[in-house]
Amino acid sequence: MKLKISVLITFALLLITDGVFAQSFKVVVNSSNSVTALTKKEASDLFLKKKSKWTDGNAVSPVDLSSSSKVREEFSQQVLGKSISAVRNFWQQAAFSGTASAPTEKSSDEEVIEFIKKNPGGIGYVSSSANTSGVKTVSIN
Amino acid sequence: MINLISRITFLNLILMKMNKSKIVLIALAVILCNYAHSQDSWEPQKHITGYLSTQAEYIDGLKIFERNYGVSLNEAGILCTYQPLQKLTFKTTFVYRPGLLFDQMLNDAYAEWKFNSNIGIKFGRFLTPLSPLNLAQYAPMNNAASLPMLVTHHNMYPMHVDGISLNGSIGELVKLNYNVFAGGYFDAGYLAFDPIGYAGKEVLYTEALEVNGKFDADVKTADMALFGAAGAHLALNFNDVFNIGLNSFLGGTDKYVNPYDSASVAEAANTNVGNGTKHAFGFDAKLKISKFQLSGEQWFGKLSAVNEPSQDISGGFYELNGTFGNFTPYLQFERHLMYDLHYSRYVAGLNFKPTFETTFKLEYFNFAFDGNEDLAKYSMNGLIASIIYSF
Repeated sequence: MKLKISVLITFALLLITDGVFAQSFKVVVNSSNSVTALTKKEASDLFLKKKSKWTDGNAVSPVDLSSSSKVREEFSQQVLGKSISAVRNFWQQAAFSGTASAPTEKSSDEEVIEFIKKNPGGIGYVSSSANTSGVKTVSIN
Repeated sequence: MINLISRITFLNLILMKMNKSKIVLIALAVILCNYAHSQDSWEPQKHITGYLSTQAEYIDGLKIFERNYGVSLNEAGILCTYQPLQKLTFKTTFVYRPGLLFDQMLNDAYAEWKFNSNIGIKFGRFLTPLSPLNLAQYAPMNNAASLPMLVTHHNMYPMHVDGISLNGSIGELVKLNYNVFAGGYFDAGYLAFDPIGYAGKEVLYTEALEVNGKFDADVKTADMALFGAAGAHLALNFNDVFNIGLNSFLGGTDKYVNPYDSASVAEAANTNVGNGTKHAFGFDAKLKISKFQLSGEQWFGKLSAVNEPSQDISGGFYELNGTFGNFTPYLQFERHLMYDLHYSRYVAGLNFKPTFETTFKLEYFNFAFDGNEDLAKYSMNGLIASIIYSF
C-alpha cells in the first residue's frame, strides 16, 4: 500500500512539474524593446529568422553562443526543439540555398550582452548567472 | 537629419565657387558618410561553411568505360558570405566536381541589397532559382547520394545565371516568395557528375553505343547561351508544411547539340550549329506530414532552332522520404522526355546523419529507357555510397 502511494505521489509530481524546467539560460533583448514575454514558438521563429521584424518595426537580429556552449545546447533543445547539430544543419542548408545566413556567434555572455546593447532588434540568450544590466530579460512561456 | 542638412549647407557655402561636378561629389560623400555612421551599430558578419564528399559506386552492365566501379572525391564545396552592412551581402560558392570547368564550378558570386524582407536585388552569378532541386543540389542538403537528372542534364534550365534578380517574400505564416531574373548563362549540358563519368551522360552514352559503338568519355558537350535568359519563380509557403511553386524559363541559345544528328558525339559537338530558344515552365510542390515528406517537380518545355524542328521536352522528379531520428530513408522516381526518348530513373536509399559534421548515404538506382525495346539493353543498375564531412 505504501509503495503504491509513493508511486502515485511520484507520478503526480512528475505531471505537475512537466513544463516547469530548471533553466540554465535567460533570453535577453535590447532595453528599448517593448517585449516582456515570448512563447517558445515565438522565440524559435525569431532565432530561426522565420520572423524578421518586431512589432515596433525593428529588424530582428538574433545572436547565438558558440556551438560548443552548454548554454546553447540547452537553449536549442528547450526553445528551438532541436539539437545544435540540427540547427547547424538548418543554417547550412539556408546558406547554400541563399535563403538566409546564420546568426552571429559570440563566444561569451559578455559579448552577447554587448551585441544586444548595440542592436535595437537584438535577441540572444546567456547563462542564468550572467550580469544582464543594460539589457532586458524576457520570459519564455 | 538636421546634422546632414547643416553639413550640406555649410559645404555649399564654402564651395560656391567650385564647379558643379565637384560639389555633387562632395555632397555624395557627405551623404554616404552619414549613412555609414548610422550603420555603426551594425557589426560586419562573415560566415564560412563547406563540405567534402567522397563517393564510391558500382554500375552493373556498363560497357566501354575502363571500369564499372570507381571512388573519387566527388564534391567539395565552400561558401563564404560577408555582410558589411545590414542590407548588403556578398556571397561566393565554389563547388569542385570532377570533370567540370572552373567556370562551371563557380556557382555563386553576387552582391545582394535587401531593401527589406519584401524586396531585394541581386547581381552577379547565382544558382538558377527556379527549382528547389537546383538550390538543394549540394551533398549535405540532398538526401540522396546521386543528383536528380533534372539538375545534371540541364534540359529545362541552366545551373546558374549571370545577371540580375529581383526577389523577396511577403507574409510570415503564409508566405509568398518570388524571384524574377534576367541574364546570360552557360548551360553545362550533359556533363558527368560521378567518379566513372556516367551519371549525367546516360543518354549520350546510349546513343553513342547504338549509333557508332564508340563513346568518348572525355568529350564535354554543352549548350551555350551567351545572351538572353529570363525566368520567374512564384511560391506559396504555408508555415513550412506545404509549399507550391510555379516556374518559367526562357533562354536563347547560340549553339546546341543534337546528339542524334551525327555518327559520333565528338562530331555532333561541331555540327548543327544554329540560333535557338529554350522555353520551359514547371511547378513544384512539397508536403510535410508528421515524419514524412513528399516533394515533386514537373517541367514541360520546347527547344526550337532555325535549322531544326522544335523538340518537346519534359522532366519530372518525385521523392518520398521519412525522418526517423538520424535516419532518412528515401524513394525517388524521375521520368524525362528528350529528343523523342523517354527515360526513367528509380532510386531507393538511406541517409544517416549522426552529427552535423558527418553524413553517410547508401543507395540503389535503376536507369532505363521506356517504350523502346531496342534501347532496353542499355538499362543500368548500380550501387552508390558516399561519406560527407561538413564544416
